[in-house]
Amino acid sequence: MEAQGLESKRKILLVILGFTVALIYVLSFLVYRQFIKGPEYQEKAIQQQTYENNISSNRGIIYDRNGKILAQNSSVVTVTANPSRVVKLGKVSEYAEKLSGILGTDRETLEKKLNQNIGHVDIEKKIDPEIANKVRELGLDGIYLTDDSKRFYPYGSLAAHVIGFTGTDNQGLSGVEMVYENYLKGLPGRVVSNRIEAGTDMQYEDYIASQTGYNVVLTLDEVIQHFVESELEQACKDYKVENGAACIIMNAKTGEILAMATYPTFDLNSPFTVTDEALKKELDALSGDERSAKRSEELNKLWRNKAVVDSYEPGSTFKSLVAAMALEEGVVSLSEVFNCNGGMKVADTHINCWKAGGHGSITFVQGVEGSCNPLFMTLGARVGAKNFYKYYKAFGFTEQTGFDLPGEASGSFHDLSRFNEVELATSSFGQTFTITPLQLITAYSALTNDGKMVRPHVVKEIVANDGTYVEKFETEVIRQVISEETSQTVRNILEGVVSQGAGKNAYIKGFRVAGKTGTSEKIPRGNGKYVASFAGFAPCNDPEIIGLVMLDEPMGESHMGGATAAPTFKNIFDNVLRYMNIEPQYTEEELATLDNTVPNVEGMAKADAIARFSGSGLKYTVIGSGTHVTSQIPKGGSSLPDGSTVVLYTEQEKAQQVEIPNLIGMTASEANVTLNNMGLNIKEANTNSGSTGTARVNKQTPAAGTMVDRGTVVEVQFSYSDDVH
Amino acid sequence: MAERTRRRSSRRRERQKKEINYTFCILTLALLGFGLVMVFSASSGIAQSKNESVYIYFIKQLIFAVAGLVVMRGLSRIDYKFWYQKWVVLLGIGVTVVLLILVLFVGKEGGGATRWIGFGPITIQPSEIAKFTTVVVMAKWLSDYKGDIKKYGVMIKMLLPAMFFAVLVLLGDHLSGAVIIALVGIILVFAAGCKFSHLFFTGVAFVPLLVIAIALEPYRVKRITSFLDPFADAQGTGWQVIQSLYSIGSGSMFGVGLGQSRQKHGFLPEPHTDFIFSVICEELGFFGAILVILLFVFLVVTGFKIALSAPDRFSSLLVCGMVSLIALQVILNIAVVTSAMPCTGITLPFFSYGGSALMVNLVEIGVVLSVSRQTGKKL
Repeated sequence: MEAQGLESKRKILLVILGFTVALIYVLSFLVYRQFIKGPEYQEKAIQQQTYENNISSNRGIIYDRNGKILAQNSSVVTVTANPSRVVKLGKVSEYAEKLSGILGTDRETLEKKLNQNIGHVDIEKKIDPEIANKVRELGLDGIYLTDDSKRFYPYGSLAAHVIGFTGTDNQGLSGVEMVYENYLKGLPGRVVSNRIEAGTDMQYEDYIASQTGYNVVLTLDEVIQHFVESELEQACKDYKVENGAACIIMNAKTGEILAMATYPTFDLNSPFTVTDEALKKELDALSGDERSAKRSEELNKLWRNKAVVDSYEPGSTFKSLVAAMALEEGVVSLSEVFNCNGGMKVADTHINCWKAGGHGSITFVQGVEGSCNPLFMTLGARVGAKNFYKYYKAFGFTEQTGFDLPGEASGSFHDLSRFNEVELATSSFGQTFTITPLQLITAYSALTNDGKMVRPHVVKEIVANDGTYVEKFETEVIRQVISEETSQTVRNILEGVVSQGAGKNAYIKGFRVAGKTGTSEKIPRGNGKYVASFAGFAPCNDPEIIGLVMLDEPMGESHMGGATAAPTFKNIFDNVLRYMNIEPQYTEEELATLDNTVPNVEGMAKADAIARFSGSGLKYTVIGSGTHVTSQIPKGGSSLPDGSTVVLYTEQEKAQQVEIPNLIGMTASEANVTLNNMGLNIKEANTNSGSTGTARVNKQTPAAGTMVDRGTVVEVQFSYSDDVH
Repeated sequence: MAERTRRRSSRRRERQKKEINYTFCILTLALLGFGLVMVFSASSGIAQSKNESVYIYFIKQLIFAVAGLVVMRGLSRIDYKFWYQKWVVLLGIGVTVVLLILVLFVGKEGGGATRWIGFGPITIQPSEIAKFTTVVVMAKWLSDYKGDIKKYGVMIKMLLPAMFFAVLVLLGDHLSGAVIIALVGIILVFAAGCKFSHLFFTGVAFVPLLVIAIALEPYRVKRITSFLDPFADAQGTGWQVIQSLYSIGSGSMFGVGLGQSRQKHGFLPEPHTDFIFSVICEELGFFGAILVILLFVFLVVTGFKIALSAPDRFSSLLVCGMVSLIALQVILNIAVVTSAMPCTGITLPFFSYGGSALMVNLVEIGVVLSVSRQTGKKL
């Protein structure tokens, strides 16, 4: 064995040097990777190591103007699974069997879903919590239940076209749900979790809570909407309306839409379901693409918000505005006399009045009340094509109203270069151009609102969950179209239309309804299809609400607006005005017709006595359990207003006595309610009609504190004060 | 005869007086302990995903570490001249060759090559044994040869044993093992005194051979291209390297904390073996990585000091070879995980999980320690 020499020591040092060089090379890479490229690698590493799971946010609630819930969320459950865990446990087929039993899903589909090497799969979305509980009771390892939410509409089909509906991911698809999506949807939260491949347990790292969406308060009133919908449905049945109907009720001063309905309607909770039996049969006869095309066409038709989307020829309802133009331009006076002989020659065309034989010699006011076509053609000609179009534009018919629901149409008008005498004449009585119901009602707001047209809107405010306002939609005046004076004049004329003209079917005692009927023939002319409508407002002296009823193709006995739309309008307004507690202002003639003569039923058998009250406008209360009426209060022959109660006693017992309350200072309805609650009747004495302001009781007989029998009539006298609340 | 007896007894006395190099021993123990902790941490992800106890890899490695320490201590007490004996060397060659050939037929699959032989519950990696054998054979071969190694022909002849083992290992498709064996042979020939220029030009001449070796197996080509631009094929061949770089980049200065590696959960391939250094970088940051490297630097430098003061040419070359084996593997392993060279399967001594490699590492240390008892002795 040899000892090592200096030579080999030098060599070993060289080997160390070699290793040092290699180490420096490697170290430089380590520094480069860890520090220079480090942040980049780190970011990419985090990207692959984590995944984000969105937590759906709760959608905001939609309320009506009084806080009634129109759209809310109901709790549902989504079932998910960790398939690789299930595979590892060897329970794929067992789970598939059990779950298919509860969920009703195909077993093979479930098996396919469970039999894969991934960490997450949706088994069934949005199931009923009760069904979910059955799954929970099984306690299957690797199957998870997540709370989820689903949109629920408590009133079903109510205001369906306004509220709109949502899709499977709770995204708004139509109506307010769609337009206010960004407010309603909220901010989804996130769970950022470790992605550990091969499906081992996850450790949550980061949780960002979801934010509930904002609540939307509509201007709609559920009660009014309900009145409107049931009347519209009744009208469509009574008048055999073929192509649907629409109605809008708007606050005359603010432009708030109180009700907006389209018939037929659909259930918001199942918007994709066809319920019409005839249509169902028609669809069943088809198949494949043809069927689905037809189905989606029909559904789209059903979802159309007719009041906003459909345009039609307004007919005579437009004449109110032509009258306003003429008055504003000063081309006519109220007492000017016109002569209608049943038609008029314009250029070379003879255009008929709707009334064969004509109206004869009439004043301007009478002509409007009678809806005389030649009168309006004359007015149109006097205003002139240029000015006519100026007002047409000012009333907003050339543009959308700026309403908040989607799909708004703006109608169509003549090409201005061809807007000549004949076109001007026909336009003057509301034919040969189209507008939407919403545009017309908006234009009418200029009449009701002293010339200032207001923008219609259906959302009142947007409120956060903690009650703070996010946005408030105030009244927005679009523009002053006519003067205050003109608007007042037109309103008074229109009241005459209802009280003694073509619109008398819309007359309601005490509420000073004003309005105009409309009947327009659909194109092609002569096919017997019409649009019947009525546009009006009340009370005439200080309008609170405007309404428009449009019946598309009434095919019953009459197609005239006055015979179909006007009564429907009347029924709706009667309900709405009373619901809104608008004070009746009876004229003397009205008061005279209000009273009913009380029948004398003393000594009659109970059943016979009751029969006397049917159809009398009076109510009755029977006290005691005898078979015959022994006495009655008030006595037979006295007169009482509609809705008063006659008390019938059937036994020889002492009449029940009550103490008369103090009514002084009460309004008519307050006094009425107070007395009715005590079993007393009210009678208004010599009310000074035509006065304005609020009527308050200033005199009563008998005086307060007197003991009287139930049923006694208390006479009250009102005085008017101008203290507007 | 009497004189021989006296010399033997006095040598025994001297040996008994002499202590092992404690610095070297303590550095080894530090690395081993550190390695065990990292195996525990790095294997937890793998264990979880296989639904095994998180302790399973740690316990297995601990058993091998304890067994290895017993063997190491035993070997450190045996005179290094044991390895100089002809029968030992011949037996070593025989066993190694048999194992290397056997692995070609009964080897277990792993990482695209067959490298393990199973003996009941124990699997051994013949290429690890071949590394050790190569060093022993070369040390004897070089120290026995009387010719002038500065002659080119002599140098080539001296290289033959290492090349023989390298080729045998290469047959088992274990390129990295073959490279390490060849490199350690070259280092020993150089340490024994050959001319650098001779080695250099021989190396240049072998470049075409290397190219052929790569061309024969397409996966090697892919590994080389993925080293040049690992992101070119992020989902395929570059995947392993990219995952390693993500780990290193995530670690920054002080790391994400011991046991907190996210990359070891299904992203990093072989987090507990070939890529354990990436886990160190991620969990303990640059700080931890430098600590590991410094421990190895001190170990290697101490090792070469022992070689320099070794009593004779054989022991000096023996130690030099053993230390070089460790140094080469450390540098190549870190080069792979930092993508400083093409990706190939090289383990990190004392850290990577694997019984036979750990045993062989500790055997190597044992031999060095045995030489260290007799350093500084003038003959």
